[in-house]
Amino acid sequence: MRKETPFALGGALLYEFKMQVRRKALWITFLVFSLALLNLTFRPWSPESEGLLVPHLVANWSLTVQFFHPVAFGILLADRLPRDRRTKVEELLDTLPASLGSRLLGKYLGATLATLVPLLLIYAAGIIYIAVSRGDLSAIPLALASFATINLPGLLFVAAFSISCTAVLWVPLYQFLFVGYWFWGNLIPTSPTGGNMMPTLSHTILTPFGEYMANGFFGTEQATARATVWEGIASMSLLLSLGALALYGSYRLLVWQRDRR
Amino acid sequence: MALTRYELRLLGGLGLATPALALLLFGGMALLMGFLGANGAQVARVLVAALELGLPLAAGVVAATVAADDPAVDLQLALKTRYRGTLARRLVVLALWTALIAFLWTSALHTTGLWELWVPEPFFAGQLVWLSPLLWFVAAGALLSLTLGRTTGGAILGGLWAFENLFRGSFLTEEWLRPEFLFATTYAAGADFWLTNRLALISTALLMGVVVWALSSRTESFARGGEA
Repeated sequence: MRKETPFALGGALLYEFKMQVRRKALWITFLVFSLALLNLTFRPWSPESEGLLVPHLVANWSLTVQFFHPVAFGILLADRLPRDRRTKVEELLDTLPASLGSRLLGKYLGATLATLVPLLLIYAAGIIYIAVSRGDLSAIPLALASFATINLPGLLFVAAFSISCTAVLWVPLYQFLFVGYWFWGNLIPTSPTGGNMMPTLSHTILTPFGEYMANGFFGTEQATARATVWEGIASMSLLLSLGALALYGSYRLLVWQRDRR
Repeated sequence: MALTRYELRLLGGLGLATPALALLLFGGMALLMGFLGANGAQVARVLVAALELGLPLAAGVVAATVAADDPAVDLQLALKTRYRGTLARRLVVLALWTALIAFLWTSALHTTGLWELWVPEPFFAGQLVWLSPLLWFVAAGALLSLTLGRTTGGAILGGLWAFENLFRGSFLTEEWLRPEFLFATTYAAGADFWLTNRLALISTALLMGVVVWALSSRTESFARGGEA
């Protein structure tokens, strides 16, 4: 590791965070996507949620937030890497002492953290509602655990692929593939009785929607999958490992592309 | 003609290939389902869904990109040709190219007899399977992109696509939502409201097209460079 790496990583992280969090697109997109929450059954203020225990309610809210928002999350991150080429700073950045690896990691962490900000605000609003309406402050630590285990692994997975895939894919093509993937790989029913014979990753351990963790750790019945704690841990580990692999793959690719120039 | 050729080159290999890729992905899935024992109607449904779910979304995302992604748009402030003419030509070229691919796909399905397994309407009226959502997505992509920006436009378009897919039950049962249901063939083939739905989608697309036309006359608002 080169000497300047921690500073380069911190610098890239900070600037990527600031650039992303100040984008109007970030806030407008999440605001529009939040309208979908009004139509989802298991929001904390719906009649279906009345008899539920607080841990189930919190896990359901995590799943509700994880329904559509990752689509916005992935698309908003997808243009971060091509942006360096678009604004023609890529070669300039390559001449700096900061290594490509720390810049890529800084970009991933900074942009992902910034994109998490509106999502966390939406999530926190629901949790405050749960805590106040039930008069139970245990909802807050539960919410931290729920977000960290149900939402975060899937979001880090989505972020890693959105940053990595656009090293080779045209951004609109990635957007199309990603939206299709999110529906196909997370939300479509798998029951053949519904006339669906389509093979899908939906309701499997590879689902970034987070239902294995929701059922395995919190026991919520809203998740279609029925999982044990160990299956929840396996799903979480798999999502995080695949995300790390995607990032490493894009790093090797970017090094190869740079060396060919 | 020269301008059309130029627009096709500007769309580039990727822009032209994206709608075709959408069809190929659904085609591959249908093939896999066939191997796994799905019946003819189930396979036909996925092949028709390629035209209604896949192709229009792909064209819409590309439209959202081309509508607000011209680095030389500033030049049009100084030229006789207005940007709205350029944008209209650009969107028409994209829609025509996608329509050509769609027509070839439907013809192939018709020839093999798969088309009739899922679409009860006559072949030519059945072209509304793809035409209505295609026009809707291209117009919506351009409109969202011009009003909210390229990234937000693409994201909201994707969100709407996923939303209508997931809440198809509400779109099919609530009468006031039916006219704007984009996937009536995939989820309700042969429904009595199918034709009304298709025509309503085209009307909405035309309405959005008029707004795009009006908005795109404000070239100076795009010339600021937009969000990098």
